[in-house]
Amino acid sequence: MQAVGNLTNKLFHKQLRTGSLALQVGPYTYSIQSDLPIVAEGIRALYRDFVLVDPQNFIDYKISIRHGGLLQRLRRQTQFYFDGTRPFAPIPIGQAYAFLEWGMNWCVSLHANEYLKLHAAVVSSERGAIIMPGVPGSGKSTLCAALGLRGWRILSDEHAMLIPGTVNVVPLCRPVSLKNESIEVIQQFSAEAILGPTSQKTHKGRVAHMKADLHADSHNASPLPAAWMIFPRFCPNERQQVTLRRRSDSFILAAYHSFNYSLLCESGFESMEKLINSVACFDLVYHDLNWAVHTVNQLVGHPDNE
Amino acid sequence: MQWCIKTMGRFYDPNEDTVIYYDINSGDTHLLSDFAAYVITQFQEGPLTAEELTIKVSPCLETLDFSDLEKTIQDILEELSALNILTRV
Amino acid sequence: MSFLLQQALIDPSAATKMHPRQQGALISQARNSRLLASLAVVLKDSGNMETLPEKMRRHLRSALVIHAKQKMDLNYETDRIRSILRSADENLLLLKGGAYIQAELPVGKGRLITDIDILVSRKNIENVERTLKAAGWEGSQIDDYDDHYYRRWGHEIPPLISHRRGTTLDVHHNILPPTAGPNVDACLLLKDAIEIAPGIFTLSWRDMVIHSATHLFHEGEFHHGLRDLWDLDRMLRDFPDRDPHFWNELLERAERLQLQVSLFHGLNYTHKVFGTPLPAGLLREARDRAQNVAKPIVDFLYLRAFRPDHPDSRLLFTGPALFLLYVRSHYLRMPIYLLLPHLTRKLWKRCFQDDSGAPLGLDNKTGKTANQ
Repeated sequence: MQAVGNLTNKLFHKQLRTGSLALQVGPYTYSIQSDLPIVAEGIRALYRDFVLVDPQNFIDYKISIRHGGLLQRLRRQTQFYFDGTRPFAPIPIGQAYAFLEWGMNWCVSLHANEYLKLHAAVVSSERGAIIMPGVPGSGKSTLCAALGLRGWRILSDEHAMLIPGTVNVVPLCRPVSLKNESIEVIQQFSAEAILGPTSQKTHKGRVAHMKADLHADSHNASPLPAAWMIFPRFCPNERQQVTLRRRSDSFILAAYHSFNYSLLCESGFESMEKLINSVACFDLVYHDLNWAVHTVNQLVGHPDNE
Repeated sequence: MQWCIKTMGRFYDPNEDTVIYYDINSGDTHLLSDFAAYVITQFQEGPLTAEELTIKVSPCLETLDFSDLEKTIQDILEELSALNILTRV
Repeated sequence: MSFLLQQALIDPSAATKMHPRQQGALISQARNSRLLASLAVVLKDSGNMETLPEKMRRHLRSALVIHAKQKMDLNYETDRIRSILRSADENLLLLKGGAYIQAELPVGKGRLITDIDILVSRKNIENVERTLKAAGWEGSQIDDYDDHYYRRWGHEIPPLISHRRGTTLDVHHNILPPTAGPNVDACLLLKDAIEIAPGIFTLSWRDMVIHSATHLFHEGEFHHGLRDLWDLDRMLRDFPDRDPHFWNELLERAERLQLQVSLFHGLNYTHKVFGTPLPAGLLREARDRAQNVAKPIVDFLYLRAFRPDHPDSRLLFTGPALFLLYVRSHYLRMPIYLLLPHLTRKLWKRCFQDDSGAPLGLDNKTGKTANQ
């Protein structure tokens, strides 16, 4: 199986330009088309170990980032396309890479209902997977990146996809999105973090993505059982602590963090009940990343790797 | 006046003082006090008046301190009806 | 020239014989045309679902999940709206998707909806609006210009929203705005309504077809063109069995409502695109009754608008053709002096929002609210 990194520069750019670049991301195949250098640079850096798929195969999500016309080109704007439609307003070219990543998330958030999807980062060790739901700014991505850099396998930064009626999470490993100060925090945390292009002044501030497939099994698509649910909250002014969370509260909070809990109706309820009954739920308040990683390791009995 | 439930929903009771209730009719999920959840289960067999309900639930309340049970029941019925879980008939 | 989605809807077994790349494109076309759940139903009912690859099936199942949820919400809201309207002395008459689904018609199977449309009598509409608002339905946040536009030139009040559940309700007093040209007597529609459940009404089968055809050619939403045409096909294959006199009086009824032109177009294009069976001579009679129709230029425009707006199925000129149709449908709805201010205003607002640069739409669309 050939990976993106095996392509010659010339072939890579040609495939990306013509829309014949197709990647396997967890259970889905994306085809990506773009004529923007910043998009090419980002994919080359962050997706180099992703497996290429023959573009003649079944493509789940066909996306494209390109100029919508002359006027957009003059305004230095670009446009995200999905199924040939433009679901979002035009964006400044400098934000194109961040938008590609959001767009790829959006495809799954909006369309895939074969799983109960939580807006959560997921990491795993041989002891089981941890689901970390969180609103933007909760520090879930930063913690996810840090755990990934200390030997945990990153299953997803954005979607915990649970097979209904089980506690098994389907991996959907893609770059981790870091915002504002988190970018420097992660760079200082580990010299091994590989970051893609930085998008300035997006609606979420400054955004850069970190290569997430750092583990030998990163591209293994087999589902893994979740054993813990941790609700992280980054807070510089509070005492760092980890506390047990009641199951009924966890149920409501996890449902709130779900993209499709209510869409799945009764099967959503059953799946959530199964999940909450099977995992231990914790709140984690932190501001020091080393402390947070150590605490998570201790909580699940995983050794601290440096 | 009687109260009733269209179709009994689903409960998730993790033995805390709150219970999750999934309303099959609306698709809404509620976090309820365990007593409110207990009140809902009383409608399994059909419509009840507030008085009938009070009589049904009072045996299990002996050890609890409900200074004004009738008022509590009335409030819970109003709230459950505002959430469209129960309806007046 | 046919496209994948059209092929699969007409002959579901075609989907099983397609190349994997085409199967991907088929899903994408159906999703884009808001017909993915309808396609799933067609494939399931014809026994072809199980022979499709799992990669494809999961997208179809995902769409059925959305449909099932919409059906459940619709059922719940219908019940609530019915009792609110009762206190305003009005019956609940559902239009479009809501009617198809609640009446459990084949056309409602897999039909996705975006809002609930109802028809009330014009003289009671202010009372209905007041009562709905008192019961928790809120007016949407639109600017004064749009509000004025709705009330002065529209056939509905500005959409009402139930914020707790995120449902949108469109309250109409007619199926076409007063400026559209045809002067539809809404009383005729109300008089012929069918009670499908206690206190819940739909238009009669004939009126439902005529309304669907009208919607197709008078509203400015041509990206749903193919979906609307599929609705017509489903109805025209179903209603003759429900009413043996269905075909006899269809054309008279359309004429009575002054909508014979739209009906002719609807019958014509449904037949062209989906091969919908029509009684011999019906199309010719419909054409005779509709004056001033079927110029070649119109044909050229419509056939493009009914394709999914998808690169794989796009013919040359689809972009401009869609724009022309948009203008045309506005032209059909309004006297010409109104057309330009409204379009420029829309254009201006669009440009203005673009200039601010921020892709504000994303959060809403990614977020939980979109799905819950």
